[in-house]
Amino acid sequence: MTADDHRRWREELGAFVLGKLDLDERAAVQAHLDGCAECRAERDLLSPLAEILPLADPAWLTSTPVAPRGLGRRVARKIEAERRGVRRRRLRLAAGFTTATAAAGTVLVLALSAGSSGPDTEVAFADVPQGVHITGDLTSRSWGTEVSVYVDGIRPGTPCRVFLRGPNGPVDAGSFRYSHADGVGSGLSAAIDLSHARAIGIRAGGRTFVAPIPSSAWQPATARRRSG
Amino acid sequence: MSVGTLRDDRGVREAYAAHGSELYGFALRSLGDRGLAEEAVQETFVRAWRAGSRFDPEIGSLRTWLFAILRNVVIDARRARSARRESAVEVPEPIDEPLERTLIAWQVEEALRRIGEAHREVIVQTHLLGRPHAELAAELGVPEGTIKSRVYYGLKALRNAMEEMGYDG
Repeated sequence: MTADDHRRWREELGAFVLGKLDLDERAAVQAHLDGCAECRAERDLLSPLAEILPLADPAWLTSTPVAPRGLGRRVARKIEAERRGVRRRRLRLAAGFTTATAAAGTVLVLALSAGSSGPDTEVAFADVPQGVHITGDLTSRSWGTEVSVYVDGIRPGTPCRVFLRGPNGPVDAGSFRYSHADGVGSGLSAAIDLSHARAIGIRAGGRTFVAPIPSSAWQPATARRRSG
Repeated sequence: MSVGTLRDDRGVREAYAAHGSELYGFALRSLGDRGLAEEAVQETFVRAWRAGSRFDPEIGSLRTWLFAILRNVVIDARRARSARRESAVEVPEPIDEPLERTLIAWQVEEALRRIGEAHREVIVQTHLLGRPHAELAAELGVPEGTIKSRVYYGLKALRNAMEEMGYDG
C-alpha cells in the first residue's frame, strides 16, 4: 500500500467514528482497519469524541464568552476586602488577648497584629472625582514605610506616582502604571517613618490626590502595637 | 505557580490573567446568567485565596484546582437558584442539566472554538446540525472527499485541544 493510499484511509476515519459513512464505505474502512494496527490506534483515539461531541450546543459557539472588563479588578478588590476582614479579626483577637494578659499582671507585646499579617494603617481617599476610588495601605518597616495603593476608575495606562508627605515635604514612594487588569501599586516604599508621615498622595496623569493619614498612625510602631 | 503566591496580590492577578476568562466561560455556560457568572468567578478566587495553603502543585495544576472550586461554587449557586424557584410563584423554569455534563459540553465547545474555522464548520454542520456531506460540499464548492478529510483533521485538532484542557478520555 502506498503512503497516499494509507492517508486516504486515514482521512475516512473521522466520518467513520462519527457514523457518517454509508454501509459500503463503512465496510471498506473496517476491512482496512482489520489489517492496519496504526489506523486502529488512530480510530481508538478519535472514537471517544463521537460520544461527547453531541453535548456541544451550536448556539454557544456563535461567540466566545469574554470575561467582562473590570472583573479582574473586582476579584482583586474582593480579596482585598477579605484580607482586611481577616486582619480586623486578628486585631480584635490581639486586643482581647492583650487585655486578658495585662489584667493578669503580664505585659506582652504582640507581634502578630501588624507586620506580616496586614498593613498598620488603611487610608481611603475621600476627595476624588465620581467613579474614582483610591485606597492606600501603609505598613511600618525598619527602613521606612511600605505602601500599597489600590486604584479604580482612571484611564488605563495612566502613570501613577505615589508619595508620603512628612514634616519636611513629600517623600517619593515609587510609581506604577495603572491598568484595568490590576489597578494595584503594591510593594512601593518610602524612606520616611510611618509615625512621621502626615498624608499620602498620588499623582495620576495631571491630577494629584492627597489623603490625610489618621493620627492613630503617628505614634511609633511599638506603642501602636501595644495599644492594639 | 508556587503554593504561596495565590496569597498575595500579584499571585491573584497572575492566576486571574491565566484562568479568569476560562473560569468565566464555564460559569456562564453552567449558570446561563452573566451576573451570576461574574459572582461565581469572584467567589472562586476568594475561596481559593482563603484555602491558598491547601493548594499543592504536586497534586494538580492551579487551573484544575480553580475549576474544582468553581464547580462547587456553581453547585451552590444552582441550589440557591432552585430554592428561590421553589419559594417563588409557579413559573416554569428551565431545568439545570447535570453539572458534569455541562462541564464536558463546555470543554467540547471551548475546544471547538480553538480549532481552525474550516474544521469547526464541517464538524458543526455535519455532526451537530446533521447536514449531509454532499450538501455541505456543494455549498462550499469542494469535493465530498475534502469534507471527510476536514472532519478527520478537525477531530484530531479537537482531540489535541481537549487534551490541553485536561481531557484524557
